Amino acid sequence: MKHPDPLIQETLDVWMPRFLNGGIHYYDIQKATGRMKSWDDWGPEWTKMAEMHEALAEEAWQAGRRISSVQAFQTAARYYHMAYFIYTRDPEVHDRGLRKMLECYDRILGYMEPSVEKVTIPFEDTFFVGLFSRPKTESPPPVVIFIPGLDSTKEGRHNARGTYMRRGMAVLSIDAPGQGETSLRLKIRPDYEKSVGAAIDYLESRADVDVDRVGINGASLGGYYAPRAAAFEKRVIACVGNCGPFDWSEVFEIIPQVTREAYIHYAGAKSREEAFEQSKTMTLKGAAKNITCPLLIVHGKQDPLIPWEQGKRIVDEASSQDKQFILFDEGNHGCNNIQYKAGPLVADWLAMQLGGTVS
Amino acid sequence: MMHPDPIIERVMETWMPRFLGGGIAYYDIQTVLSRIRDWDDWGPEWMKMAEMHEELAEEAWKKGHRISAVQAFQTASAYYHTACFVYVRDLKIHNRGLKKSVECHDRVLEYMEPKVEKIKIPFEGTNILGLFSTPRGGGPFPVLIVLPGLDSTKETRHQRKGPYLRRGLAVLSLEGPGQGEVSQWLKIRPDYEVAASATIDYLETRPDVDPTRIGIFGMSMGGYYAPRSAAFEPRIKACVGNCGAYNYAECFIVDSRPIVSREAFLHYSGCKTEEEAFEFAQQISLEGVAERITCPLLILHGKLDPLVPWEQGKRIVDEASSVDKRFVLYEDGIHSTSNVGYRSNPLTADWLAEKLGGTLS
Repeated sequence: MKHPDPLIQETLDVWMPRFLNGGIHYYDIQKATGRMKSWDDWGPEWTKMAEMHEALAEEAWQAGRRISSVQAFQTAARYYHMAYFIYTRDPEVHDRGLRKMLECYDRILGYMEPSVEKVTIPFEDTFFVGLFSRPKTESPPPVVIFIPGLDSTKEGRHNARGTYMRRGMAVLSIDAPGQGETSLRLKIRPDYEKSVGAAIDYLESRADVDVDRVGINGASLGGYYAPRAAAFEKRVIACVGNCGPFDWSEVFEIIPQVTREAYIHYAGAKSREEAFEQSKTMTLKGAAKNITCPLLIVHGKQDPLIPWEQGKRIVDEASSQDKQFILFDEGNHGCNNIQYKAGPLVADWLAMQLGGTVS
Repeated sequence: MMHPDPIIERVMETWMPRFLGGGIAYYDIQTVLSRIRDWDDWGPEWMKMAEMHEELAEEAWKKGHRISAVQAFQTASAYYHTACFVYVRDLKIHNRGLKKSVECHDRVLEYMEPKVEKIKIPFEGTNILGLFSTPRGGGPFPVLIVLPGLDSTKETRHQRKGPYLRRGLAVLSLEGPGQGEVSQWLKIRPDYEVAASATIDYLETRPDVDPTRIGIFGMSMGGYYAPRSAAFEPRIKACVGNCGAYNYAECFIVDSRPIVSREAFLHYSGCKTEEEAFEFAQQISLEGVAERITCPLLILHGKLDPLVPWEQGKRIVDEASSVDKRFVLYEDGIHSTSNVGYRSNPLTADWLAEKLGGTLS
């Protein structure tokens, strides 16, 4: 399946496994991309596909078929995410996709299994949002903060909660500045440690988790945010990064054009030059050495966005005694193509660091 | 196009959504396709890929990472199944794939969540097999018998138990004659109702199910077996068929049917030649049988099904005597409607829950 438009083909090459893992159907990908002439059509065509799924959800809801409807609204939310995923050329289509994604997800929030609580986290003079779930344990469980990347969201990340809850950990997936729902109000901030600090302050206000056992887990740009937070926020006691940059400006020219366009959007930059200047602040230079907690960095050697040497450098410069760099020879960006290797490895590592269970 | 070899290309066109839906990773499919030159390589290359997954499982197990190991062994089982799926050219590889698929699955049987019980059902002096799970809460539960097709198995079918359990139905995924593990000692039987009856006799001995609320659901060739069973077995209270044949002989000669599917039929039926298989296929028919169906009946079909033309499904409904009968045709559906599962699966689950007294909410 080769698409005549190079931007669409590049997007499929990089993200096909991620789309499929995220619950987008192969047949729908074939159909939607088959209708697109160029990248400009990405947002509108995925919006149509999402509307079809939303109609299925609505129909099931009207018929009182609640289980089917809850599933279908989650599917619709994922498809609306596709409509704006790294698609920022038409900001109206982008924003509508984001808003519809949230609307579909929030509509059935009360019926999710395992259950999901939407939380508001005070941040400076404003707030950001998160999704929270915890296993049914007697004593307060440890908690993992899931950090999205440039264009993933708390909803997408929270899909993996079951894997963590089964291992005895609570999960808080956040949309901090520049991410998902919060990106509608706040632009990307290089000092992500402030967001993680605010999230932990919030967790301290809850009696149902053990705030002495907080881990963080980020992929893609979240693989920069997580170690960055661990460097400055000492309440983080275990940190995982997956395919994140050591210095965002070093990869700024390497990443696909549509990813760069998305960064310009989420950073609130007016031009490519301005975005490049801002990207220089997204760095672990002088920061990585402050990381002292157990650290696991996984990277795909075939990652076309973030060269694996970036991940290795984070581990090389970290001061942690317990640090590990795992390079998957065949891994792509986010190690999405070999999720069956990276996914269990990360979950088990965090369970062991935080006192969850692996059996 | 995914592959220069026409057989492989046809297999991918027909079953790509099925492979992905069954837990085979896209990247692994790409990798295998890049390594195989023609269909002869299918079994051996998928065996290698399955072995890689089994090693991951074994490694997790040895480290005491039981949750990961249980998941990985089930993944390995699905990959071994792919190695023997419609691949019968080298029977040693086919049989080894089948055995390994069962072995990996059964190895972690006691740790599965939700719980899975492997059951032996007495059948004509020997036995057939099933996997059984119940929903949460107290029984007795209504129960759904799920039937594989020509080359799916109780393990692959039982993977999809979640939506039924959630709707309050117990699930028994059956292997009758000619199917999966049981195919090693029993060949395909056109009178599948005997297997369904043996299964219901077994269910009647279980205190945790309600034998007055039994449904049956089959896909592909199971879409023939299910209505066939409903025609002769009055204890079945609701029946769903998805892309099944009215008359298998008529489908056997359809040009768009992949040649490997014909080869698999020869193998599972124990026929020596295509001619013999065609003769045998004529017995696999609902002619004079469909009219005996009186229970609520739902038949789903994909209009683009290249194996079983949709008119076959329609004929089952047309001839059934059921007062409550429904034919749902998906304009863009392929075989087993696997490409539009987000439409057909919830419909099937909700319909069955409604007929059997499960729950929709």
